Amino acid sequence: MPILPILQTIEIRNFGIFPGTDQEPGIKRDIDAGVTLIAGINGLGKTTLLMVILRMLTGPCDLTGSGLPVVGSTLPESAPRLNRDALRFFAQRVAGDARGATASLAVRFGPHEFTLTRRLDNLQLIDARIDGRPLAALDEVHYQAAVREMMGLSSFVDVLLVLHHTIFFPEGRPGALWDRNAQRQLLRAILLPPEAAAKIAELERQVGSADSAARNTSAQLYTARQNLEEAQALQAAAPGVRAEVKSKQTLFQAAEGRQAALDERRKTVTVEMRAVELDLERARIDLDEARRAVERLKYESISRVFPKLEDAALLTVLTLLSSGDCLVCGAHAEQAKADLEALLARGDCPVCESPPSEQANVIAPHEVEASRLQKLRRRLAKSIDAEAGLASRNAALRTEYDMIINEAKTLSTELDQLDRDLKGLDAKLPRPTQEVLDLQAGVKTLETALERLKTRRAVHAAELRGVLGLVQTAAEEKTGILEDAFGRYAVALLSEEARLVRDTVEAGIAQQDEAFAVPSFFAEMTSATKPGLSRRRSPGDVSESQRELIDLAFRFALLEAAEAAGASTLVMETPEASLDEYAMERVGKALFDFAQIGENRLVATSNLTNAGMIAWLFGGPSKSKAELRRRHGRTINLLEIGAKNKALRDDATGRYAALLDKSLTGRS
Amino acid sequence: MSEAAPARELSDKDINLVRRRARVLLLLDAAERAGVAPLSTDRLHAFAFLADVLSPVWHLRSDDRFVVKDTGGPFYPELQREMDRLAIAGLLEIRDIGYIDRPHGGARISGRYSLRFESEHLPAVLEKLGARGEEGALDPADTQLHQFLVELAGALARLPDDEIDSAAAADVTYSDRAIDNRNLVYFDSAADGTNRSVETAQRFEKFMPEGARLSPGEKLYLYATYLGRRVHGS
Repeated sequence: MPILPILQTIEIRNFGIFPGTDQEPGIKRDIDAGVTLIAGINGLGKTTLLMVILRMLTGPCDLTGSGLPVVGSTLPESAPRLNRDALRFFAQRVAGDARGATASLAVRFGPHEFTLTRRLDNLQLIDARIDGRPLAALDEVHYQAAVREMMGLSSFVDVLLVLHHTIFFPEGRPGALWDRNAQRQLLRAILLPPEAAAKIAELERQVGSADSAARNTSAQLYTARQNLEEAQALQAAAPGVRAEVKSKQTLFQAAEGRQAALDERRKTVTVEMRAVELDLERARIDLDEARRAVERLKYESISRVFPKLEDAALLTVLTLLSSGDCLVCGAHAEQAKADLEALLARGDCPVCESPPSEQANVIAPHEVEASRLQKLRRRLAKSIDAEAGLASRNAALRTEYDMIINEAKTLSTELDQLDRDLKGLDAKLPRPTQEVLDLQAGVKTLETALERLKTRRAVHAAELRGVLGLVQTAAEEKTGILEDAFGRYAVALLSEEARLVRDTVEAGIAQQDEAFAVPSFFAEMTSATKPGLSRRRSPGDVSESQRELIDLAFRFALLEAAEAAGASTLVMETPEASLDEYAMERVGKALFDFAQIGENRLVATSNLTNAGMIAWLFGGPSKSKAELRRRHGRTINLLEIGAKNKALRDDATGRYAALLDKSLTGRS
Repeated sequence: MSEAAPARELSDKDINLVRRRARVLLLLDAAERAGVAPLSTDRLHAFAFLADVLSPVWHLRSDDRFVVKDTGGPFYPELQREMDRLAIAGLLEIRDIGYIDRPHGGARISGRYSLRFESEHLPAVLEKLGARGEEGALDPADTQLHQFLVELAGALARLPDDEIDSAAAADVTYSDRAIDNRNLVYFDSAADGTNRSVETAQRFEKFMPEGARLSPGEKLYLYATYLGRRVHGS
């Protein structure tokens, strides 16, 4: 299992954005267990400081050249170097291109103390030591190997993956819960032993590479066939037959194109159909449960009136009352339901309409629990709407699917007929010229090459399918831990109920023919408009703040499931963004709780313009001066040590400093 | 003289309703014959699931393609609704109605269901559904389904009570760890179209002496015994 970095100290020198104070130039801070706050207003360098921490660890390489943690269908074998813009991120921010600016980081990886220093203008390593001993050679190759080994991962690419998707949590970027590729790679990297993780990544690359080569060859073959057809068309002999061949070939290609498009449509509809089938079946169960809940409430009431009513008769009355459906004739009988409800509401007998005073059988006066009933009825109405909507979508998809299948059958017949026609016409053509013979040979060579590539892809794919079973098994073993942990954090972070659920998705490693089913986790959440918990399949299915909090719960759950060596660091950008006042308290407390576990560290930036969360990050409001001093001690105060921007220069009365004090204590 | 109104053509939805009602009656008739009636709500759904997933052993098609996997075991909401309707139509007896809590304030009905033999319509209905031999059946092929259900109920009836209750949850398709709760369990795997429960039942033949074959009924008995063992984790 991976060992995650525990930040110890950060030091930045000669970097104009963080001039520091006269007594202590630059930044030099310990990152102790618990919360470290980076406080400042816009433009003082909060994000830049987080980037320094990130780039100290990634060096001049990342998952992509732009530095964005984008994960494609396969991972590169080695981390690409950052492009010029990304590499000059720090240089571009100050005059003089940050020449002479350096940063140092001390990090603990399990039992090892790792210290490193880099130039900020080009991220070059100046010094790197493990437990005080320098690396064998001061270069990125040795650095990356050392970090990979200390973290117990299979490659530096996996190191980057773990850094981006468990430790660094920038604002506004959906995490691994929403990104199927990133999640697949992350589960592989953290749940499998390094050798198996490396093997899968390698096989994925091989399948992807064979797939890509097959697609390229297929494109070349298409062109070669076109050239051949044109050359054949130029032959003077049998122009009528050639024209017919040309026309049939055009029709054949068009039909093939339609077939490919149809197949894509079938795949898309099948995926949606599966999702809707699940949602609909669950909606039906939910509808039954909502209906029965109303029924039960009525049952409790009616049982008092009819202590010995036969069950079948009772069920008739209950169903009428809960759904308005008459079980006897199947009609929907709203009026009968309303009449019956009115009688029950008064406590009158629903059969002979006798008032309570004349009833002999009654155990207790009938009292409908109006508010509870109202709530259950609202839930029932939502369930009915949800079920009806899904049933209609399901029916539409089924119709669409059937149409696609029928169309595919027609197309297949059409292609067979065209193929037969072309073979018949071919027999009528004169012997080909040398040019045509050469082109035919070229087509043949490409056809052979394509077959070879497809075979290669199939061989790698078969091997990959075998080892992907390891990820499935590991995911199955960790599902309980992940779901429990996610559930716990979700309760603490979200106002809605949420849970994690494992499903299977298509990995999309190869674009053609080869499919790979892999485990993937999804969030399910209650909402104001849908009954029960509904599956959220993309970031668009939740609000911005919910998305971030679900991401956070998933990261916490991953940290637990990965059995990270005792502790971890979470570096989070403006956790209060997009949260309301009440949510800030809830989220702040949850983050505080995380940071109190063992040696855990939380490094969070906060923008003072929305600072309701700050006091909660430190455990809640406090009037104690000693506590305020302690909180100041845990704060990297960019108002003091950052380069003063115009807003700060204009703040002669120290309003921002006062705002920070107020935020730290939580006093309004 | 006015012409008689033409019979209304049944929609797919109507046919499905009738199909589900027939299924409930046949399941309960099989339970009666195996001596395990009345069936509790949970057991009836579990029995319906096992009948679905194992029907290819008898060379029959499954009624449904999937069921939601959840902690409470298999549950078919549409089948439940038809159970209620049949009770009101006087073909079923329902006793001990109660309600079980479900998440988010929901409830599930619980009761014990059996055929109501006092019903004057029941004998004719069962006969037409093929539960009384080929002669009176609307479609003689339906007797196959009835025989299969009787055999399956008989196989399950040999298990102790606690094992019957957990048999569906122990089924190899339902309990497949690759499928997490709150997902659909497809009886035929999406990857290769195989039905793992059926494959397991068929595999028992491999343990027979050379040349010996197992009848579909024997396979069901062996599979039920196997489920019993899985309930206890062996």
